[in-house]
Amino acid sequence: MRTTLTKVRLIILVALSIACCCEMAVFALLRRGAEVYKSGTALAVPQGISVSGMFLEPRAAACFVIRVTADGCPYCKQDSAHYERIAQEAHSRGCVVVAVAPEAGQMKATGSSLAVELEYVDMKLGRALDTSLTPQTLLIGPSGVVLWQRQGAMNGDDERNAISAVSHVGMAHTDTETAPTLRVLGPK
Amino acid sequence: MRRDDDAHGALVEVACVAVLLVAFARLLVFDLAQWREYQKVERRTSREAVSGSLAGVDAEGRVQQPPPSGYTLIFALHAQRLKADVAFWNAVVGRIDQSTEYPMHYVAVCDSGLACRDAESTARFPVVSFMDPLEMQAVAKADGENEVLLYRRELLKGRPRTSTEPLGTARAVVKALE
Repeated sequence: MRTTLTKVRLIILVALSIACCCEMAVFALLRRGAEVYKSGTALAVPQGISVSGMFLEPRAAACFVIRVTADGCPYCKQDSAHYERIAQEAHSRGCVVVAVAPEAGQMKATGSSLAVELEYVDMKLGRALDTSLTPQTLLIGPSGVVLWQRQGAMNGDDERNAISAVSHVGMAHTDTETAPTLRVLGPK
Repeated sequence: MRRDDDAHGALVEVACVAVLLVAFARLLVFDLAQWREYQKVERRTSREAVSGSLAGVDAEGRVQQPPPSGYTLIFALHAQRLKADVAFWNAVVGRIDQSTEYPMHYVAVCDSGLACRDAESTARFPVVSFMDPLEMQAVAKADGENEVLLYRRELLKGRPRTSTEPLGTARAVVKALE
């Protein structure tokens, strides 16, 4: 009787251990799937036409912060303070900060000196960027590789992680000029 | 007495394990539901721009907006084979215009920003360099799948497949108009 009970216990323990492993594997998969862009994905260096009609030229920068946002998005307002601090840090370290709305007319010009507000993008960025989620905050390296990303509203931890990532790439490129190149497009 | 304690302990143990098993079963059901949602999200490669702004900006900074009436065909131009692409689409546009009485508008979208500037003098259609991100994603996705986007006013009517010959592509577009 006792031997049978021990065997049953052993079987249950093994079954529970297997269930635990399965559970951890599923959570790991779901956690990985929560990120829209796979780590190391190469996005494009942003270029396009700003809300005020200026052309943002593609150029080398220490990094790029891309913020997918829209005026009517409540979660974008919720984490705007975190985003502004990240943008400030990125700007001060030679990164170009770009805000983009999914559709034309969803973002009014704020006259921000930190971020270029893009209304129209080129096909490389359009192909790479998934605008189905707002807000999104992405840190892109000089070659276009995604270094850090957050889909949804950010919290204090996200802000710290983003600023830490910015400081790493920013320190390596302190010689880069900071202002994004904006110009009016005209006849050739 | 000792046998009673053992039996009681075993009962408690079995009850605890049963509770754990039920909890795991519930979690498993939850996981399966989440997994199905995750798979759905994975399958959805992009939001379909079934309606929206078809406006684009050309290489000289002018906003190009197709007229609100009639049909608009949007396709990609590839900077690396620009001359061949322009010749191909000029032929397609000619064939479509011969084959249908519907008012047609055409918009070519450059795949490399300003790199298709040279096409503007020879193309029989406007060439834009920039569009809004959602529309640009739809154009890029269609291009990757050898399709073009056909809109009636601002609503997506179809995604005709392109072929290697202008005649075949024009036929596919005309068929989608019907």
